[in-house]
Amino acid sequence: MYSPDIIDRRLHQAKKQGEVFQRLPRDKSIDIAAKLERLRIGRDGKPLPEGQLSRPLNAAEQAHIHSERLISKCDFEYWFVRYACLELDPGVCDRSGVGPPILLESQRRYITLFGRREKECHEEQKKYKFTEGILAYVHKCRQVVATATVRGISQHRLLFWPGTRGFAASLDDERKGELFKRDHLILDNLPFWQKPRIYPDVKDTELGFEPPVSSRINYQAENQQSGIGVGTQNDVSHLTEVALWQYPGRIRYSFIPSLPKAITTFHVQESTSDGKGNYWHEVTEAARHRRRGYESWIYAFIPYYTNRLKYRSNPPNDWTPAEHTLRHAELIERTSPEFFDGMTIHPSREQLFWWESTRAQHALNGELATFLTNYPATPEQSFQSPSQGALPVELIEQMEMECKDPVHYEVEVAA
Amino acid sequence: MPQQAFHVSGSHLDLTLESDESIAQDPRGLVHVWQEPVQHARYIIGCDPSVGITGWRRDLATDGDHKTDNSAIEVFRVDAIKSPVMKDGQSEIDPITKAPKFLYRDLQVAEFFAPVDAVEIARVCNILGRIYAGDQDDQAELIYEAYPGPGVLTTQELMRLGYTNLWYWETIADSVAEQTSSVGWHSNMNTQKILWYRSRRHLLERKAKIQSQWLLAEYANAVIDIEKMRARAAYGFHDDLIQAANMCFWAGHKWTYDPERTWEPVTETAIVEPQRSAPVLGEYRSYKEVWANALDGWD
Repeated sequence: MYSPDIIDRRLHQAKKQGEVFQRLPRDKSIDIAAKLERLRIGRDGKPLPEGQLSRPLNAAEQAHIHSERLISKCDFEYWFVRYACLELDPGVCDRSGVGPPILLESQRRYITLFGRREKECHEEQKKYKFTEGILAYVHKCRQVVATATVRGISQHRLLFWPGTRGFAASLDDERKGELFKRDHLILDNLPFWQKPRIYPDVKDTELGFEPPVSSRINYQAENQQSGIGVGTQNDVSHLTEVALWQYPGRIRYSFIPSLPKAITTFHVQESTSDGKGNYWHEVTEAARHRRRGYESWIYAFIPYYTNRLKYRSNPPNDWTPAEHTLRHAELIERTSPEFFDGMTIHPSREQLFWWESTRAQHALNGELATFLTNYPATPEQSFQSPSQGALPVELIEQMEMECKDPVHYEVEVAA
Repeated sequence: MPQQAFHVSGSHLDLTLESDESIAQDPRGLVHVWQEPVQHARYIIGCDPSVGITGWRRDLATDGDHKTDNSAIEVFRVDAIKSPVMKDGQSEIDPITKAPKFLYRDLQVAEFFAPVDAVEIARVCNILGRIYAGDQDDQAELIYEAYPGPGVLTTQELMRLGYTNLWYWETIADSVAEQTSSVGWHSNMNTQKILWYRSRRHLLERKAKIQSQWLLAEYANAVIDIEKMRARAAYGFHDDLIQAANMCFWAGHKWTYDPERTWEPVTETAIVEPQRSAPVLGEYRSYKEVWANALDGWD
């Protein structure tokens, strides 16, 4: 679903079994879907009752629907950018309102990492007849469409893989409601030929799809009385704002055991950091360094400069970057290969101007720790503990600029 | 091109062939070098020995040993960097001499940490101390935590290896700083507190250039122990590198004797600054004498 190799393998298998399908450009798929949607409107201009069309579908239309559903099932990205409607960020899209997204760099990163792990899962399954599935920590800066992407993945699984059991949890009722709202937005805007019959549909609590889809999803708040996910098994699960959770210990002790160890498992925890020495700090660093017990977890760190269109400002023509801004750019160039598969990222002038001016705003208010937490360039920057830290944040930030990679020597000591 | 190897008697450092990824996952047990030795430079070596795991080797590391305290070595080149003091993007000028002001900074040049025991870390100190002898010709000065803890084993092993350029514990009694006959740093609540205060000030004044991401991570993750008023590792982190580095600053700058290096201008003519002199009456005589004469006249 996420790995190009697995997608090709599935579609090749479908072709061998006589299935006919054709990949279409995004705009064409959206255009045809809009035309087909008009069949749901009666002569009086009002929507027809559920299940009815103004005329029967012709053979070409039926073939198109079959093809799009088949490809969508096998290829998450194909479906996501054509049929999953989200509230678009006008700052990074060419339009606002609700519509299918154009993938940002951060979203491509999530899908690449999930795809890489998916491929490993298939290899493990083939070799050992066992795999733990896709498990991920997404450690991110603010507003990098992680939640929207994972909601898309969850709905894709529920829709196209019958019998999927889903789960989503966040900090409190309000944030849980936000997840429910986003899911409903996707379902409400699906073309009629993808939309399942929804029952039950309990606000902020539960969604179910009637047979033959028969998938369901529960929504819970972390601060509820009982443990999360107790008494259930969940194939697809998503925990958000984890660093802010009051009782993150529940994740390990009550939720993780509810995950089936299977190729169908997809579990994501995502958050911006909140302090250091806590659950989020511990698990993300363990996954980053692939410590024992975390070897199969995906670690996705999304620094602020990932999406080139997001955090930027228009610099004046005569703007010259300050010394520490230049050193910050060097820091990005030095550290980015770790987070982007060896690729060195060179921040743009607009990004650096945004960084310099936003940082100055925060520094003026004595909120540099907040700035670094929300918009880190490295995981180290993201974990701030302004009230307890032995050295001021400003100093650590300056010192970080001076770090360099050393030359490494092995030591052989004469006995 | 980095030097391929350093040989000290039968011991040696060899450029590793390990991948960057493998080192990033586990940097322990390797010597990390940022600057090769310079003959006339002054180096100081700080070491924090630990009980460790006897016989630990990098190629036999296990996942559980991450929680074992590391023995740590830091090597600093003292006052290595002379850089102008900047103010508003420009070099700051002394208002009296009109000369630019300079800041001297220590430079971190090498580092080693691993959960090896107090004897094995002494052997690594012996190699690094001889490689980074600098202006001391044969051995750089070494400061290490000798008490409490397993430091006595480090002392014995260093003696066996003929490593004698060791820092001796110093005390201040009746306002006179004296070296004692006791080798190494003596760690207790008071000495740790004063070591931290001094080192914190040193770092805040940007008088040390830390190049290691691992040492920086320890500084960044250190929290203040309210009871002891010193920095310590936050839960789940180490602070061995901090201890080694802070001791380097102490010994490198002889803080027991010379609490703080000050910058004094050198000028061709005397600086006339009336605020710095005591008031005198007429020609120069002692302050006491002048006032005594003045008062005598009133009898």
